Amino acid sequence: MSRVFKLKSSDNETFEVEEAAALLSETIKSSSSTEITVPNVKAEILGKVVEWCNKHAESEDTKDQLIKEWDAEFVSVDQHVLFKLITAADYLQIKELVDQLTQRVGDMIKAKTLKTVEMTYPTFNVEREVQEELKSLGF
Amino acid sequence: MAKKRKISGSCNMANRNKRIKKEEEVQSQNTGGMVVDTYTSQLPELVINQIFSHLSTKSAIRASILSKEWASVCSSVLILDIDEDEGKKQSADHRDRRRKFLKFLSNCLKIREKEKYLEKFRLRMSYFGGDCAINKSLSFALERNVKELDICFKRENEVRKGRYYCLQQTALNNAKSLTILKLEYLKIEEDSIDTISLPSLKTLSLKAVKFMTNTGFSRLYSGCPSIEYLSLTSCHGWDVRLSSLGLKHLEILCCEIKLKVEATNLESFKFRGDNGLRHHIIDMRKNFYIASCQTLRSLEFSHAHFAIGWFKGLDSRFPLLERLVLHTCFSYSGIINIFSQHLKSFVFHECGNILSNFSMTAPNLSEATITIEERRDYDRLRNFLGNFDCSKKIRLHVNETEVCIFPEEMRKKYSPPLPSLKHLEVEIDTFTTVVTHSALMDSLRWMAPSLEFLSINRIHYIYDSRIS
Repeated sequence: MSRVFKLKSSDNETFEVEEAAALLSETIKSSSSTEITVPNVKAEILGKVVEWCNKHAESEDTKDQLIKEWDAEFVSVDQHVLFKLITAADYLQIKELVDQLTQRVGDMIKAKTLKTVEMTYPTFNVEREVQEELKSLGF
Repeated sequence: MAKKRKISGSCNMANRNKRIKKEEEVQSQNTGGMVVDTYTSQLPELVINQIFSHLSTKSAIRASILSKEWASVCSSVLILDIDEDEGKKQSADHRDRRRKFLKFLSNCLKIREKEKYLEKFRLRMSYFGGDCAINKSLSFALERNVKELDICFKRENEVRKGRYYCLQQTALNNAKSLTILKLEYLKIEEDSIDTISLPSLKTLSLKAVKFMTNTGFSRLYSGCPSIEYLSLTSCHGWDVRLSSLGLKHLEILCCEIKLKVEATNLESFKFRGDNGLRHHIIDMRKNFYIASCQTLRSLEFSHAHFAIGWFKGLDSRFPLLERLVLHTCFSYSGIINIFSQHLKSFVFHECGNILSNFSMTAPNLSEATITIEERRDYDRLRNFLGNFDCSKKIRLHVNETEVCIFPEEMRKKYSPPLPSLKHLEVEIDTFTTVVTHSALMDSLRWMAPSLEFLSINRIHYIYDSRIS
């Protein structure tokens, strides 16, 4: 008989989550109660996190191509939502989800820094920058 | 507001920012409209570090000049990730480019010289001799107790000829902190006296790696007691016997080897049986053995030839099997009967002669993904599809519309292959204009009369909101 956990968002909406999905969260795992309030996380975001957990509870093999495609779509959200998801996943200590979200932010930063540097500092050259840095360190 | 951090060289960030501003005749402190910065400062330090650990060294350097905060995070993230291909080609002369790259590599090491630890070192470059710089960077990383080491010598078109960098086993001997080791296109020179010991290694990935002797791999493997994930790609001539209890995930791709897997706690196994280069299927009949494994959940085969009766007793050999993938596989004119109680997911990709000799009984199947690339004998296709009627969901991927259009005479004579199917997703690569949309719908409705959910190329046609 699997237990059902209740997750409450900051705007008082409750999500019911089955044991297998809920235990993907370390926070829930180490909690003594089956009712957990997630502070500062609204229902829209908490709902998405629950959706991710449900999907990942179904299929344990994270190297599955289909899940990878689903995950890739899951993290393709606007940065505003992305950061809220990270906060929620971090609070709930869902390692795999935090990994995927931070990888996505990393990719976004990578792309944006390239563009911004090209625009703001057009003569910037990475190799030369490193040399200048070395000089200032006394090499 | 991010906490202030004591970081070596932090005053240099301020100097560096000043210098750049002078050079460019300045600019405001903003990050050029990058809203991302306002969000990152609200996240916990560990998470910010994790985000920045995904950046290559060049990206990190760029990020550093855009924001003071990012500069301090970048210098506290102990990662060196240097890829020769990254960035624009500065000059046409490849020798000049190479020289510049090696200089950049050496400079990056110098900047981090004072660090005592390094989390990850990744180097990707082509090999044209010049071992000195590579040896130096390897010892630099290993002296700093690196946890993840990823060395890849890229090749144009995966040509096997050409020089190989020779990695001395002794260099790795004291790598007690190493948890992930990935090596590509190099030779490992074994030490005849000392056995290698990598006590913390969990992930080992070798691609196109050569050893000096036939037993080289076995000796390396036996020095890795904690290994959980092993991947071998394009490695040849080895006698691979895996019987460790800790191994959970195994991948053998395009290797001409003798394979014996007795790792009884294995959870997933992925095998690709062609040569990669010449697309010729490796004959593994005598050289392939995988013991029954009580914990195996996922089996994935691609470009493999199955011996007659290989699938017999699948259920007793792998009682927990949940996922099975057959991609471009062949059977030595045998019949494949798959019976599996726990199978939840089945993926099938165009497998030549298997279609006619295939039967599957998987009462708990949740999802079957079928890809058909050739127009088939519709009779065989109907029989084949019938195997998946019990599945909760079918994804059918075909290259052209005709594949799904069962001839009218057939539809009148025979009963549909999927009478109980409720959920069908169809993906068609090329819609031929000759076929009308209604002809397609007629055929699909005959194929699966009880459908409650139908989508064609992600467009929903029937959607019953009662189904979740």
